[in-house]
Amino acid sequence: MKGANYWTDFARYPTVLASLIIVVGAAVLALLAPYLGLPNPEEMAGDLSELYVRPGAEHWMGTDNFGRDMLSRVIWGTRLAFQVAIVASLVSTLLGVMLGSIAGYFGGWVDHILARTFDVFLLIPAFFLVILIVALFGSNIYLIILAIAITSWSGQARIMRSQVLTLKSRTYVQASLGMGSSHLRVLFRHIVPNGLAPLITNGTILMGLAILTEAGLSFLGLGDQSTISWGRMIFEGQSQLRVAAWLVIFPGLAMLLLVAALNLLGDGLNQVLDPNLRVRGNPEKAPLPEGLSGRGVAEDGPATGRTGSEGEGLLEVRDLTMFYHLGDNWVRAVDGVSFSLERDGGLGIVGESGCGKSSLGLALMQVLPRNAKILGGSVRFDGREILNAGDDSFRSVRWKRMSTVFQSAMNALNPVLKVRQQLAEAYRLHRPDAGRAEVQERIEEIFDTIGIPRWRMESYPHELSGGMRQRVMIALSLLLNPELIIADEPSTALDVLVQDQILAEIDKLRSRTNLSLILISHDMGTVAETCERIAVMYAGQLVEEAPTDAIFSDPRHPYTQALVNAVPRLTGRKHELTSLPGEPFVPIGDLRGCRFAPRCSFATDLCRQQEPSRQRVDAGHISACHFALDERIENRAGERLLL
Amino acid sequence: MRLQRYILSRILQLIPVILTVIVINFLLIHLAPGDVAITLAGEDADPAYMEEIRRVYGLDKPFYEQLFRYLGQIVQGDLGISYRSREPVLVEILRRVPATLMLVGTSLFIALFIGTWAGAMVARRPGSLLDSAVSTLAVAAYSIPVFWLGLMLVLFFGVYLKWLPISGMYSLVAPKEGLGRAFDVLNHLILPALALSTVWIGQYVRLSRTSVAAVYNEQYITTVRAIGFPSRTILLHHALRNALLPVVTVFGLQMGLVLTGAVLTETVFSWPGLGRLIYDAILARDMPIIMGAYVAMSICVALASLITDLLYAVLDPRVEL
Amino acid sequence: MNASVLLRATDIHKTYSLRAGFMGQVVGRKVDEVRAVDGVSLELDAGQVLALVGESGSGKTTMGKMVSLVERPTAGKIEFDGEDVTHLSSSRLKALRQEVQMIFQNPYESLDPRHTIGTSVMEPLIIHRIGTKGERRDKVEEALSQVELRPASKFVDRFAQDLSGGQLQRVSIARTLVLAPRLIVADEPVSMLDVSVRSGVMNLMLNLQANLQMAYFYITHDLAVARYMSNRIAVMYLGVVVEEGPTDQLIERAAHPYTRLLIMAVPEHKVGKKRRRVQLSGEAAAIKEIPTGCRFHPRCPLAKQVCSVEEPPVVTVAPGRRAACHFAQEVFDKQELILNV
Repeated sequence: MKGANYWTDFARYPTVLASLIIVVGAAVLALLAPYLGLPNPEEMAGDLSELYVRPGAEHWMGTDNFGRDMLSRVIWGTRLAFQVAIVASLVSTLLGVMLGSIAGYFGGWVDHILARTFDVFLLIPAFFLVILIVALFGSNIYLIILAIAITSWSGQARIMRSQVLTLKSRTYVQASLGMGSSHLRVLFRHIVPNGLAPLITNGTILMGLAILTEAGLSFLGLGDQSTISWGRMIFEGQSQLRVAAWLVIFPGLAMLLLVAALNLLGDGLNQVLDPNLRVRGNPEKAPLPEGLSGRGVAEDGPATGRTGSEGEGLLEVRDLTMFYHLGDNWVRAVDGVSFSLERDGGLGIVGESGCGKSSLGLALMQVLPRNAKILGGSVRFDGREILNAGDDSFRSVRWKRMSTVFQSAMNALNPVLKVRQQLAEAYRLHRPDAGRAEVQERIEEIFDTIGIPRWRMESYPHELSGGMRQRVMIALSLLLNPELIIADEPSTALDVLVQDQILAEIDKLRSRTNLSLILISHDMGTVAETCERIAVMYAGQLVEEAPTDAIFSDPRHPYTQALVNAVPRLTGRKHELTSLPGEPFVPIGDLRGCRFAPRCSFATDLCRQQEPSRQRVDAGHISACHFALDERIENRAGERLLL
Repeated sequence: MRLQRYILSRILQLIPVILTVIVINFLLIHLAPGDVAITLAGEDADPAYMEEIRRVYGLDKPFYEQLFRYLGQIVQGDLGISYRSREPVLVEILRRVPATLMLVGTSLFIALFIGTWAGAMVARRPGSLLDSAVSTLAVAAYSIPVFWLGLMLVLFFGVYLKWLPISGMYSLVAPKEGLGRAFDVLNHLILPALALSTVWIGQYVRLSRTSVAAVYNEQYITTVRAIGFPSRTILLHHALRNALLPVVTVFGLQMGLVLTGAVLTETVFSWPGLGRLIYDAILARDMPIIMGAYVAMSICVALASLITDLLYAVLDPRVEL
Repeated sequence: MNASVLLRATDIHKTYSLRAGFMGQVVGRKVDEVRAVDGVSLELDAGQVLALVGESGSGKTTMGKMVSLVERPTAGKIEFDGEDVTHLSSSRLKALRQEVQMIFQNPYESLDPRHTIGTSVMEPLIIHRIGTKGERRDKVEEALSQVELRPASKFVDRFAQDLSGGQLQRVSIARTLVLAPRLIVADEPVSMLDVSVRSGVMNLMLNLQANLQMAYFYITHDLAVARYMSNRIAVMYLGVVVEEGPTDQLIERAAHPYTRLLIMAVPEHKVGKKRRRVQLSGEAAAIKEIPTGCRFHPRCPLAKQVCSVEEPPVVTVAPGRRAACHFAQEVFDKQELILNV
């Protein structure tokens, strides 16, 4: 990992930067306190006129009841605060790392005993134990620091333990063990270095907590008399609150500032070290890439027949464009996609991860991720514009006539609500007048259709198997008898036999209820069986669209050919799989030429310069390749047979 | 049946916590400088009582027997006798519990309600200006030393504006019963509850913001958005219950810190609860009270964690009973 | 090729116990035992590829961990090159690890994110104290060019996060190559890769295997991948091997109903033809509650009375072909048998 990245990340969070400056500034102040030429913080005024001096030019923070300079005392107090914070946090972190990694790594009864110990110590109210220790053993600052440390280590130990438990199963750790690494080597080379991040975060927050604990003790009169501590200043100043409030105000402010800075820094470190928490781009504020401002939303006019299937189908998509704002870039997830779907038709959308196929599904259902923006295009459902003609136009279509089955049904259902409740709510939302009995009847009916036992209604999602959960998701999507379903990888991550059941259900439904289907998948085979037409997506664009048989027998885009020839087959002769050089292209920023050109063996200068237009190969067969009609690119699959 | 077994197992899990607390207590007394009997009875206890202590705790017996006797005493509810008041520690503590409970309960209720609500509101637009402002304020709020905040409130509302009483729980002249008395107590409660809840509002804003934002990234939220639920329903019905789970967990784990804050707040406002008792005990070096308070606070925290676990089991059907 | 047996596993069992926790036990919660692998015998000849095929929960990954000596079997014997390695001392085991290497499923987790590619590939050499610094660097560069990451010098100083999935998996392969192993245990090495990248990695593995005379123990859920990669296939279901045989024969004419159904269920487009759906009733039994008799009987369309009572014997239906089914011979004999569900 590179430090440089972290610094630029820090700069993104002004509050984190500010808190870093405060913490570093305070640390410098604490270190330099003896050399700043401040009045001696313990020196009492010989002169009574120097007592209770109000804050002013002479004494910026005034003087106290002994005439001691408060500014000097507050700055010297910083020294103690840092001592307490650093030593307590360091000791408890060290203890936590040690015990936590032993527990997590060795597991078994060692872990059992240690983990229970952590839990027990986590429940012991630390402050009261510290009070007891200090009351019994005397108010010595080192004892106080030690007491704070030994009452706060268990949190760190728990974090370390869970980190180790996660990291232990990471493949690189398993790999290292498999190569013959010793346990110690694995622990110190791989596990501890990778597991420290949250401990650093929590350690920073512990620093603030240690300062507050010491101050709290001092405030109860248990502070070390020989130290200059903010807590003691407040403790001693409170009796003079009415005459000299500054005695209390300034040390408290100093403490608030330092503790808040430490906490903000901890949060910030967490954000920087944990990529999941990073703030993504904000599409409302970022400037669009050039050349896009002109591409507007299509008017509500008749669609021009530019696709293979002529005339107005159930769904007409024209130049649909949706970008993601990621970091400082726009990712062209869906870039000018056009297709049409006939009533009762089935269209498969195939592509590799990151090609934009799932984004296309989300855009069609108009559930955009927060950092996404639809930049143009038109979507017409049954002859009516639903993309940009105001909210109402889609409301009449959403879920009632067009619904969706999401990828990973594992998480697509709310884990804390029973299945029946989730279906019933969706039904009532769109049919507010429905009575109890009607809702129940409809759910039973749909469960019967999909082959879910009725008693499963009372289950929570986690009580169902993967296949059953996916069936429930399908039931949810069919609840209102829609005309079109957009299914995004509905059978992925299921075992082959279960996958076959799910696909069979979808097949049955289509033949029985005249359902139209858009099936999004990475798997050519799955799509081919269910859909009459296939559209292939690459880097945000549709590169080829054709009837299913044509996609396999006569693919006219080099990428489609590669996909068809790269998948091993179970039947027929065994031929050598072709593979593409390089990696899938991520469409970011301004682009020129064909996006597939860098990996294409047919690519010419023309391809690198000019974006190909959509070529009509045959009725209903379109390819976005300059050479779609050139016989040189005819599929040469199966030329190299393997015996 | 399963729920009962679950509750039983959770209660059983508290036993080691309480045992550890008592054993630590015992070890500390023995490790501390000075005579154990004096620690337990006080410097100026009369010799007869001192003898009694030596006999009851078996101070001339082997170490392990002393431990068992000590455990036995505490299990029977005998936490010793206060040096100062010469009353049993248990009685002293129980007498103070209602006041502390009132302060902690009020403050936590306010903090949970406002904090969770504000956190959920800003979580819908992470990264916005409002979000940054609220989040930073929240961090500042829970970084405030609560006793200092208390003193500042005293200074502003009590000394400067003279709006509210700054000390104790009752006024000398107020009615002794009925609604008038309730209002009087409420009036006294405002400032300490304000101090304590401010700190915890900060904590809950932060927690609920993180947790709601995380839930909003879940797939099932996309599902309900696709179905077309209004955003208000999505937040209140679909997101909040899931988002509350981590908040509930932390609520239990941080009970110790809440009580710490309460003790310090009570000290500032002379609120006649456990905190005030501890403060007075520290001033008088009244060890039985300090030890008793430590045990009592541990039991409170353990009970809070029990309640949290049960609440969690109610909220989350995935908990294996 | 006159092959000698490189790896022989005999009657391997692996049982995990799921702890209910101390307090759980006090209040009477049961301790669950899971028989992840329940009596598996396999052989792998030197320089050959054996594919272990199964669905999730079949025990194929557990089996992989045991043949790669990461975990010890609860019972049974593992022999490597004629030597019983089931209960080796740790020093002998470490030496043996040079000969048996692993490739894992998730390329994004296979390399320590804090180490450079060079350091990661060098790690096996450091662990086994092989070569001087300079020699190690040469070996690393050689291995990287063997997996077609060229020029190697461009890759050694980069970090895992800078590489794509396909490249990372190639680095993992390179890491196994520096020790010149005789057996590589590969657990779903391409299942997380994109189609267009996946075939490249498979071809690379096949080329390396042919050139370097290595044997692969190739674990996968995908029969088509198994067909492409292996000489022999063993099919696992709920902890046991239900069928085993030469790849092409087994796919063409499976002798176990489960294998037949698996083959039928693979969605594969044949121009102009429509496949029959399998539509099997029920879901795979959980590994925690293994059915009595034949493990597959609750889902098997051919199941008879005997199947639910008696564990099926292992039948040799043809030379080199065995299947654990009461009706294996019948199924095998009817090549055109389509199972009616």
